[in-house]
Amino acid sequence: MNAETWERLKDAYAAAIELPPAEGKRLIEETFADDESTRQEALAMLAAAARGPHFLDQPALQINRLEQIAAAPELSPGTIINERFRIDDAIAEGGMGRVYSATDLELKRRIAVKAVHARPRVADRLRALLRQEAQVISQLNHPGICILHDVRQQDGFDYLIMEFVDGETLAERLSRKPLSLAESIRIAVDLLAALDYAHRQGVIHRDLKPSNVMLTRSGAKLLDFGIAKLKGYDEPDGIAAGTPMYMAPEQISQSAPDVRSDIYSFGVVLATLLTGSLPSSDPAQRNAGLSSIPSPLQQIVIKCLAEDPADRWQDAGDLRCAIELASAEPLELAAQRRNLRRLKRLSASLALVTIIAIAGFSLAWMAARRVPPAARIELLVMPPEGTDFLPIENAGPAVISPDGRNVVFVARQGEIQKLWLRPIGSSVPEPLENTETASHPFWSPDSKSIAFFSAKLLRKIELRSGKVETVCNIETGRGGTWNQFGDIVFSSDYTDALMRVSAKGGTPVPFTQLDAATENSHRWPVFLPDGKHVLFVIRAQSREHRGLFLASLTDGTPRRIGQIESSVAYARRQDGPDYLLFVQDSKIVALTFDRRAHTLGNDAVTVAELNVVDESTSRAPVSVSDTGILVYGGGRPEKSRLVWYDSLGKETSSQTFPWRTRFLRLSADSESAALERIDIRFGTGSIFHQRWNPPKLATLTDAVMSTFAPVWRPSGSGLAFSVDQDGAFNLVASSTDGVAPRILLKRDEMITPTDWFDQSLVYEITLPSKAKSVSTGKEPVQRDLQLIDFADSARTVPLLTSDADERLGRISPDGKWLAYTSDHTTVEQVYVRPFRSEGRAIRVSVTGGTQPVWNHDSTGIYFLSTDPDDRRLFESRLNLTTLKAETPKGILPIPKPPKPGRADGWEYDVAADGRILVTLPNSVSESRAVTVVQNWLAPR
Amino acid sequence: MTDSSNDITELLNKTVKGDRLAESALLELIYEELHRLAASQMRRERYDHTLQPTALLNEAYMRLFDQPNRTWANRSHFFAVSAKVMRNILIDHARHHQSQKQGGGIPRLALTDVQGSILAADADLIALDTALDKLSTWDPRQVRIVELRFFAGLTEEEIGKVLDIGTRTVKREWAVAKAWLQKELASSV
Repeated sequence: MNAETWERLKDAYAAAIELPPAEGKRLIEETFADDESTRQEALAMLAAAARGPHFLDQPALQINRLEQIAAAPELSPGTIINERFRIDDAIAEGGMGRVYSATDLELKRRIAVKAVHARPRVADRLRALLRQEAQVISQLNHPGICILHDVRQQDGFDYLIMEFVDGETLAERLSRKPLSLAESIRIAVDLLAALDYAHRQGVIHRDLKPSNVMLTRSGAKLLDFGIAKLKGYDEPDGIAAGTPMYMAPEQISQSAPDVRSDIYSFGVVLATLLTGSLPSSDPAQRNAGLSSIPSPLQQIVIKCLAEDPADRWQDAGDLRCAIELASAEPLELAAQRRNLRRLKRLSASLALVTIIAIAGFSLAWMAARRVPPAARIELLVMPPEGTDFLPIENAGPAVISPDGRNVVFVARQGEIQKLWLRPIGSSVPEPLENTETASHPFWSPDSKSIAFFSAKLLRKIELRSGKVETVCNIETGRGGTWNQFGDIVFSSDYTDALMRVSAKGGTPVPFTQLDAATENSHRWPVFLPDGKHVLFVIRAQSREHRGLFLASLTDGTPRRIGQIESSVAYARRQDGPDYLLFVQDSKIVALTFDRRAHTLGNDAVTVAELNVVDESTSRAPVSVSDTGILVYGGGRPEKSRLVWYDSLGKETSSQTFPWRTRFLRLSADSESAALERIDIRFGTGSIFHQRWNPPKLATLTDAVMSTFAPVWRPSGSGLAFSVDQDGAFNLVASSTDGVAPRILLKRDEMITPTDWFDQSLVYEITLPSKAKSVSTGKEPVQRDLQLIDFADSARTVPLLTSDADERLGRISPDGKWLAYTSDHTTVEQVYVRPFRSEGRAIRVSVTGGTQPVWNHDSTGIYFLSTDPDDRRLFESRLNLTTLKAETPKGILPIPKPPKPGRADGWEYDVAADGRILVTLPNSVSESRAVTVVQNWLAPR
Repeated sequence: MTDSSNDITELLNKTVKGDRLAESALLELIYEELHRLAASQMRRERYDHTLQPTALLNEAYMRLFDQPNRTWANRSHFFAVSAKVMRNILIDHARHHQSQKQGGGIPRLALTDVQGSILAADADLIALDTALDKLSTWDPRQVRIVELRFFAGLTEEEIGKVLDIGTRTVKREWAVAKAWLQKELASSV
């Protein structure tokens, strides 16, 4: 067809179609008498148009699903079913049938009757089975579940006799307007409580969706529990029970659904609540659609929606708990914390999801349980709109005033960091003007002023007038305390002892003295109620020197109170012993304290689980008012990401940890990695084992021992690592086959294993410097590489012992070469030299390098450049015959870990196939809620 | 107005001037948005909700431009571009369903009328796509009309505005195009 002919055809056709058929036909035939093909074409068009309606008449998208033709009886008011149930009014029509309000004439109560669509194909035998099931369902008795009283038949139809529930369905509610976060959470929690209950009774819902959720005055109620199955929806034409968009993949594929299928459906409902629209059924697109959900909740939803049931939440109760914890509802009275056993059980999965690390659970909880009951009430405070909390190590925690009326905290709006005041009982926090850069605020005893550190000044602000005055000069500020006599005791810098100054201002005078040989810092002072004694933390390298101390204002000599290694909050109480509250094993713990004898009690009470201990400064995020209000938590936890890159440096997957990691070490098969979790209090850590298939994170050593630097045993059946214990360092080998850990080497100097190849375990040792003078400004220590030679009765052998630092030794996979770093040219560079034989060193890095890693066949080295402005992972090929390293090739940038994360261990490792695993600081961490608790001694 | 709607306006203006690159960029944007909207609507709770293509387009338009009252000139052009996109989406769906049918899987969506009788099967849509490609070789404008009417659900008046032609012309062109397509589809089965 050409355009010209087409135009002729159009004209002719348009004219022809206006005529009676026979005439139209004639017109065409005449017009195209000499053009056979166009004539046929036009005639065919006329014939086609005459055939009547065509799908082209209707726009394509005005579509309907071919519904099964299924009819439920229409009942008029007054109809009586089974001589007992009188239909009053039609309420709703749904996919399963029509619902009526009705009266049970026998029991004289209002009920609902659902007339179910006829199911012609359900055989009587099956029907009997369903009746059995109905009995199970009708046993369900829970405020969140609409009760099914009975299933009745009449005239071949089934009638579900149900509890009458007044309200609107969630589907209706959603179509009116979106729900707030708080409303959504409340509904979610209600639903999960109901699901949890039903699941425990062995009943699964199978068709959880908004139209099956009734919103009533007393909360959300689930309708149609298990009825999808009852109805035999899964029978005709292979259409699975349930509603496709809400159904778990296994339900659609028609394998047996279980409680986890309900979890999936719940996830779809929750996602719909939180985003306002159904999540995409395509997992690849779905997560992007969920990105508007606040982070912890988002992770929770994603876990609900896992394709594989094994990857989902396994239990509605756990899920509910996680949601409650993750949802920080500002100004909502959070329900009392409940069911701590569950919390404990949850801890493993929550560690990644809601950043809750709950360590071993112990007698402390039992002790807490014995405290006399009184309602514990919690409320959560989030940073004001548009602001963030800061990490507690930077800005200090939220602090309640002694009179219990206000909470002061530091928040950051863009780059502006200032104090904010949040009156208890008011929803509106207010910024305090002229408090820019404020950190670590503390209250005056009359609650009228707040002192804070700001730009090398100790300042105070009077709340009523807003007047800000300088008290004295300081350095960074490590806490202060203000007594009723107008004295302020504070710590000026992170390596200082305590000073004392008048709150009116003046020149500070030393209060305590630092024993520089053993102690690092005195900090976080707290006045006792007498205003004459100060509790404070001494930080020291060794355990015996660090802890909680007390000094009298008159002489300043520290007296040891106990092995408490965080700051304390002093809880003054009228009707019982005073308490000190502090952080221990990721928990806020309280111990009684005798304010006269200055002695601690024995029974620790766990007051709260901290989501994460996010401080390197020994500051406990807890304060207590004299009126007994406890405030804890908050901050912005430091996090890290563990990221897989392909060999070209493209990110392929990542996971988030609520803490920093280092010393990554992939197992030989690259299926798992050992890594060190940095306990930032002392720069040491504990060792974890991360598997990916399936994902599993296991703790190998606990934080108490302070273990670090894991390296795999050559057999892959365990690890060697260093343990900092009792002032000495042990190099320990552990095994996964249950053999008790074995100490390989014990030294007073710090020893750090860096590689274990065959019979050689290479380690770094920190020795007093032989040559470096203090005047060079360097530490008076040097680091050498040594090895344990298991082939020679585990003798230790010096490997590289120059006056410079030789570090980070890695043996090549062929066992012939050693890669390491040395700073003998003053810049740390990566070198390679023959391992345990003579030969010169080849320099690999050009402008400074560290953290060398061999490639799988010993032909290349990966390393990090040391340029702080251009820190990158490089790969350099080695020609070991010409003894030359090729020009390193940059693969991907790796940002510097935040202070005080020392680049002491490997931040990455490379798998045999060239994929790269990197631990990265997480720049997008989120504020954690501050929790305000009344009756904090009440059981949770 | 958001940044992205600025971008889109810019793209739209460029396409008016005949910038092919801008048009393909715009197509991609609209495609994404429409696809998302259509997918979410198709998976609304009950399948028997009617999907109104114009409503869909309107929503996409509002979302993309973030402004309720933009001039008709922009809007019509947007609709013209969108109609193409809708065609792609629906044909893709049909192809997808067809391939799924062979592998079993989820109950498929068919084009049916309100009474539930099938109006267009996947095969019809795919045949329509082929026929439109053929038609476009000698009457591209007619293809636009079909796209606007059948895929984007516009009325004849609206189509007239979009293509800047009279309603009568639209009517006539549509009648011819439909007849020809009906003929093509009948012979392709």
